[in-house]
Order: sequence, then structure tokens, then C-alpha cells
Amino acid sequence: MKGYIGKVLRIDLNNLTSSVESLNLLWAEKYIGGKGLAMKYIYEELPPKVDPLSPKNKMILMTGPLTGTAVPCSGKLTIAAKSPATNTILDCSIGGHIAGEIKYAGYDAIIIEGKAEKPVYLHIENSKVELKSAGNLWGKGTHETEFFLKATCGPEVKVLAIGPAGENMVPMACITSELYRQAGRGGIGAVMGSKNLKAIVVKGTNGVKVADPKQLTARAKEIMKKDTLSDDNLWAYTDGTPIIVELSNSTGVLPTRNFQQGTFDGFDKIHAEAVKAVRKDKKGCLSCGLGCGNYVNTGQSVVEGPEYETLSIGGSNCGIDDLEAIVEFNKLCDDLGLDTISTGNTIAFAMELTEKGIKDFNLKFGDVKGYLKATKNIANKETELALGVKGLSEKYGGKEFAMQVKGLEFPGYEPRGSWGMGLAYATSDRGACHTRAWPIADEAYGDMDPFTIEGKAELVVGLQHYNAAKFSTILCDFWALSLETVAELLTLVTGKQYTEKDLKIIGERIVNLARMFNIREGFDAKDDRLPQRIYKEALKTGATAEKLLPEEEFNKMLREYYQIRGWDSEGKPTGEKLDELAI
Amino acid sequence: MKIFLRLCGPLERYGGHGINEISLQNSIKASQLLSELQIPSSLKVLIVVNGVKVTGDYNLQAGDIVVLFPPVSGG
Repeated sequence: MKGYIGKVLRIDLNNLTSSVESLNLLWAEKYIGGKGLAMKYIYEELPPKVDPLSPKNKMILMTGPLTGTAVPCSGKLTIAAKSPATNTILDCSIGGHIAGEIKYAGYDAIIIEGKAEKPVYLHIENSKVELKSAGNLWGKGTHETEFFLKATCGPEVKVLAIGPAGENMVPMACITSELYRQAGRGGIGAVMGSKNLKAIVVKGTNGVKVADPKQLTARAKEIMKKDTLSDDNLWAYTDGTPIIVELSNSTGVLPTRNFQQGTFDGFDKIHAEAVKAVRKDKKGCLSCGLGCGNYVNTGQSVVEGPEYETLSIGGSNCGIDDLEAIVEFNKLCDDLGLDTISTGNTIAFAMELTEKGIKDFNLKFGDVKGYLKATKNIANKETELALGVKGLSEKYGGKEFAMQVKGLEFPGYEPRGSWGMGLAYATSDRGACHTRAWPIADEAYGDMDPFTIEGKAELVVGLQHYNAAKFSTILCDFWALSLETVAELLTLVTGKQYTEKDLKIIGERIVNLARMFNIREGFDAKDDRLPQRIYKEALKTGATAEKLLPEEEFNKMLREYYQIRGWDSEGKPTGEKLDELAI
Repeated sequence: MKIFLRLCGPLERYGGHGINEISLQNSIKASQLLSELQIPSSLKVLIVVNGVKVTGDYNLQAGDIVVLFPPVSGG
């Protein structure tokens, strides 16, 4: 099939060697690339119950057939492993330009296994692959690391790096590229740190062969103009994700003070207009026409960001309405290599534990100094907050308001104000996540009644299939396009005929494969749960005042979800379903 | 009567930046306001009046602060 290079680069850190092998094209036909294909490799290559921070865990960098082509918004890279935060399967998506560079260097995927005896970085320049000492970089932030590697290896190289948080194997450590882009969730940076791998440097000078270059170029141009750069998507360019702050506040789903409220008095100090007031420039990823990135300069800090997740979870959820402080938090997290969602949630949880007198972490909602200090301490593992929300709640209590599922902290959407979002968090393959399904767009932000379970199981199932297929091609989350268009683009790139129906089946296959991995690790229906706060504690203000998601309603919705999926009452795919999907 | 209108993101192209005062002859529904602004009916716009989400059937009142959001995706 065209679109694929057909090669996988395998790195053995135990022996500091590398080898090149063929991409499994039979798997590629069934799982495409990106999320799906990375998960297939993880599923097949990892023995059950592997310690995620042991050398036996593997880290897989996977591109997709669309990567590096003229297709708009196709610049994402999947990084997958078993998660040290959740023990589930984990795939993260990162933007920037490195995905294309890996393809141009001659590989569809890079599989990293084992553990180097001493810190190293991987330097790839087309077929030349070297592991070099990173002793001088260990302990450095991602920014200094990237600057050094560009100065050493050439300004045109693309870099993935971890900071101190990854080195210290903090479960909320991320991987950074281009200073401000992250593979953020589930502790993927800790996996890289556990391997003593500080960075990956890539330069590629080849191309990607597509099946129908003439037609692809013509259609890509047309689609970019009529579909990508339309009113449905241009919010990403005009405002970027900060536009969601006001949207969430107006609909009562803006997490505030560790999800105690759904509205925030200081929302207008951290919303899109406030961000645009300090915005200096825009940035886009490879092949992107939308350019959602905002470069801001507050005088104190310069970052590309802050995104909605940081403004909500690192802002309102910590009671912080000081944009300058949030930007500084954002910069610290990026440089130290921390996921802003899990970090913000952990600080907010510690603030509530302190407020309730359960455990004094000397942190108060709205306390800027304490919040910034805690961030540094988490990365350096100098505080128990480095345990994350689940770990802290197991040690000190407060499980009922520990806002996490399977060990992954909540993103910035209040499930009591969008009941389908609760189901999406509970059933996501990597714990509480908004990128497996985002039903809130149809609920609180759309026409569906957000306070009912009616139609939500079906909605979440459909969205999970859609996203699984889209993230396997790989296309950006922010481009709202039909699977019909995805199928057309895939056909033009690969030469294999794809239809919308094919992609829905592939999406379903990926969701079921991820589920089978998690079942193998010991997960079942009892883990598809939300914290008690969501079921029992009504919100107090705005459009969600007096609202909760009653547990019996949630249970009904979950049962219906299993039924639609063809899973049994324990949430396990039946043999018939696995046969039907050829898993 | 007068209302105040703010268009967010790409919707600014239908009525400008910032808060604009709009004069209406009679009370109209929010959906009619969208039509008058020539916002395509195919676009799923979220309408917020005085900080609360409303449907297109909402009858606009004098002094209302109307904020229109474009559809967003991805999160």
C-alpha cells in the first residue's frame, strides 16, 4: 500500500543497537496506523502484567499513512506504551512537525525497548541511527534540552524530549516537542525516563509516495479551502481552545475548585479575549491550515498556549484567575515535562484536602505562589503530590472527590453538566479522557439535553469509533470532518478503497482491542466508574445549579453502552463480537 | 429596543469585533437575529443570553446581552 514507507525502526536500549524491519501490512490494513496500529503492536508485543516502568515496557512512535502528505491537518504523531499512571493501554497524540520528519527519515514507526544503562538520546538522520550520551542533559528542562540538541545536531532537526518529571518517573510526566507541544497524558514521559532515554532527534530528507498524487493534490487544496477553513473549524485559528472557557462557564461545565462548581467568577480574566490581549503570534503543525497555537507574552513568561485544558484545570479548578500565573504554570509544566491536566488536578485535590482539614499541604485555592511551587516540587518528586490524585486519595482519603478514572485525572469538562461526558470518561481506554469521545459538543455546547441519559450511550459509542479511526490515519482532533472525507483521502493516499463503513468498523475494532488489553491487565466493569462527587454532590451555580449525575442513571447508561457494544455485563467483549471484528 | 451583541471567533465576520449595540424594531426570536446577521442556518451556533444558553426560540428582550459561539470540536 502507498502512503506507508513499509519500515519500522526498532531500538534496543539494553544493547544500544538498532534494526530495521518491515511494517506489518496485514495489521496496517486492519488498524491503519497511529493509535490503532500502535495499539496492535503493544497488544501483541507486551506480555501481560508488565511493570510499565520496567525495561519490558515498550514505547512506540507511530505515524499514519496520511502523515507527511498533502492532506491537511495530518501532522500528528502517536506515542503509545502501557501507562504507569493507569496500568491501561496508553496512546498519546503530539503535534508539531516530528511525525512528518520520521516518515521523511524512512520509517512508519519507531519501537523502543529495554533500558539504557546510562542516559542517552537517539539521533536519527535517515538511515543513520545512533545512540549518544545524554549525561550532560540529564536534569535539564525540555527547553534547554531542545536548544542544545538543535545547536548540536542542526537547527532543522525535530526533537522529542523529557524534563526532570520524566527522569523522575512522575506518573504525570509528558514528552515535549517544539518547546510547547506535548504527548501529555498517562505518564508517557515517565516511560521514556524509565528507559534512560532523554530525547529523540530526527532529520529526514526523503518523501512519501502516494497512490494518486495529482488527484490528491487537487482534492487536498479543495478540501482545505471548502472544509478545513470553514466556519466550523476557523475558531481554532481565530481563538484556539481558549474560546471554550466562556462556552463552558455559560453552560455550567467549567471545572472550578476541584470540580466543586461549574462556573468561575473570574472566568473573564482567563477567557479567549484575555488570552488574545497578550497574544503575539500564531503557530500551526505540519500541513495544518488552522494554526490553533497562540504565542502569548505576559511580560513575565512567553509560551505557546495556554490551551483550554490549562486555563480550566490549571486555572479555575485551582481557583486561579490570574492569567499571568497560569501562563507561568504552563511554561513550568512544559519545561519540567508535566501534563498540565494531571498536575492542575493534583494541586486542586491537595487544595481541597487542605481546605477540608484532611491533610495540610499548605495549599489554598487561589494561592498562586503555592501552586507554582508545588508544580516544581512535583516534577522533582519533592512532594507527595507526585503520587497524583489517585495515589494521594489512597494515602490520605477523599476518594469521593478524587477526580479521576482508573488513575487518570479529569480533563476540563464537568460530567454533571453533560451526562454523556461522564460515560465517555468512565469507558475511555486510558482513564478519564476527553479525546476518545467528546459528547459535550452535542450536549452542553449543542442541541441535546445534557441532563438525560437518552441517546448518550449510542452517541458515545459512535464518537469513540470516529475518533479511533481518525486518530489512526492520523488527523487532528480539531478538524471536524466526515468519515466519508477521511475515507476519500485515505483512498487517494493508499490506493486501497476505503469507505465510511470500513472506517467505522476499524474504529470499533480498535476500541475492542484496547478493551481486550485492559481486560488482560485485570480491568472490568467495576473500573468503569466515576468519583462519588459526580453522583451525589449537586453543583451550586449557573446552568448546572442543583445538577448531578445520579448513580442509577449512570449505571443504566453504562449497561446500555455495554449492550450496544456487544459486551457482557462485566464489560468484556463477547466471543461473537471479537469474531465479527476479526480481532 | 436595543440589545448588545458579541460574536465569538470566526462569527465576527457577520457583525464585527467586540460588544455592539443593535437596534431592533420589535422583539424577535434569537434565531431571527442569526438570520438577519446572515449566519448560515447550517452552522450550529450556540446562543448565550445574559450568561445563559438559550434556544433559537428565545424572544429577545431590551437590554439583553447576546453572545454567539461557533461550533467547536476536539476539546
